[in-house]
Amino acid sequence: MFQLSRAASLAAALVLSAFAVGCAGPAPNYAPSIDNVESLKRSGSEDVNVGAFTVAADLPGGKAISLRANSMVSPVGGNFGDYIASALRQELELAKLYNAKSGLEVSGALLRNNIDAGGISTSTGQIEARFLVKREGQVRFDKVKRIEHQWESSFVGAVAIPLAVNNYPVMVQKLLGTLFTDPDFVQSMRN
Amino acid sequence: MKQLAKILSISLTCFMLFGCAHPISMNPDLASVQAKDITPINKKVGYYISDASRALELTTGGGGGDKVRYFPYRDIEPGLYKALAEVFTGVAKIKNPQDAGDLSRNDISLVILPQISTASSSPSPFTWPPTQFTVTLACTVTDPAGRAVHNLSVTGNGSAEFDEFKTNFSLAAVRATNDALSRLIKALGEAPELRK
Repeated sequence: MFQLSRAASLAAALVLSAFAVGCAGPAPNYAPSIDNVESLKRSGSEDVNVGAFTVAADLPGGKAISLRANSMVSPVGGNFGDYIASALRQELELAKLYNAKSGLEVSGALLRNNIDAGGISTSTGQIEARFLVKREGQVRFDKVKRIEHQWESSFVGAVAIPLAVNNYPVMVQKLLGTLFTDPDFVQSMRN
Repeated sequence: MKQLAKILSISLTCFMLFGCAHPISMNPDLASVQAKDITPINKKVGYYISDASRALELTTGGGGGDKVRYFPYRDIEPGLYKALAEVFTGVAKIKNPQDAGDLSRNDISLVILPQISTASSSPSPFTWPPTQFTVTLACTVTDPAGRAVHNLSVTGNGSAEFDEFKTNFSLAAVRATNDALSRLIKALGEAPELRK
């Protein structure tokens, strides 16, 4: 019985180490989606500024996303609202539409930020954010956008965790893509 | 206590022996992709990367007998776009480099066809992230009719030691990409063939 118990402990330790190993630090630098940039260029938008994306203090995943036994933080600012603001700014910069002095501003709030990296063969992530477009303080657009993203994963933590980390910028690309293709958003960005 | 030590040592051995390809990212730091002392070329360029290239995943060496895997075209594309926008007055992603009508409608004067090759390694027997990474970026530049205008090739190198990459396993790859893109900007900006 004792031998069986020891064997079970060893097996459990092996399985646990395979499942949970792999350290995670900051999310990767955001990689702008060129399709998003081209959508912005075609939108006929005037120059725009990017305001703050607020994050409620108690929002799970707002400051750090749990990835099995590890966690991932934003490489910019203090939370993932700052990551989304930075991503939006980078895409506007590449489209040559960013102007920090513009009276037209996109801001918002992060409402959900989650990755479920515990799957044996697939992992999923969700982001939900409210986007506001204001001109000289007057609201022209106010909508919540949400995305769900799924990717092939692994039981082995040393593979599953980096995969989850590398898929976060793709999730943000998808979120901004849903915004830039919304006709109401496009209209709100025009004079 | 002895049993616990045994369990821990077996777990550690198990961890170290998992010979797998770890996913990393080559996403460049776009803030570092900037032209210095270059007069912009007054032309609009289109670049073409096939869907097959975007989906291409490469596997190269890491440390401890492990390997790393990544998507070079997908990861470098935003940096390439920015590098071209730093050198030329206009840049666009094109869907077919042989569609002369589409190129003409979009005012494309030059077509750029990039090819990427990479290498990575680490002498460490204990950690898998690469300490050395190399990116070679070769570009064929043609006119809209497909006639060769210029060919160039640049190589970027990136190094990262354990103290640096313990919070960013992709660091050597990111540094190599940043370096390759900086060299690309310089090479494009200094090519007289592209200003004719």
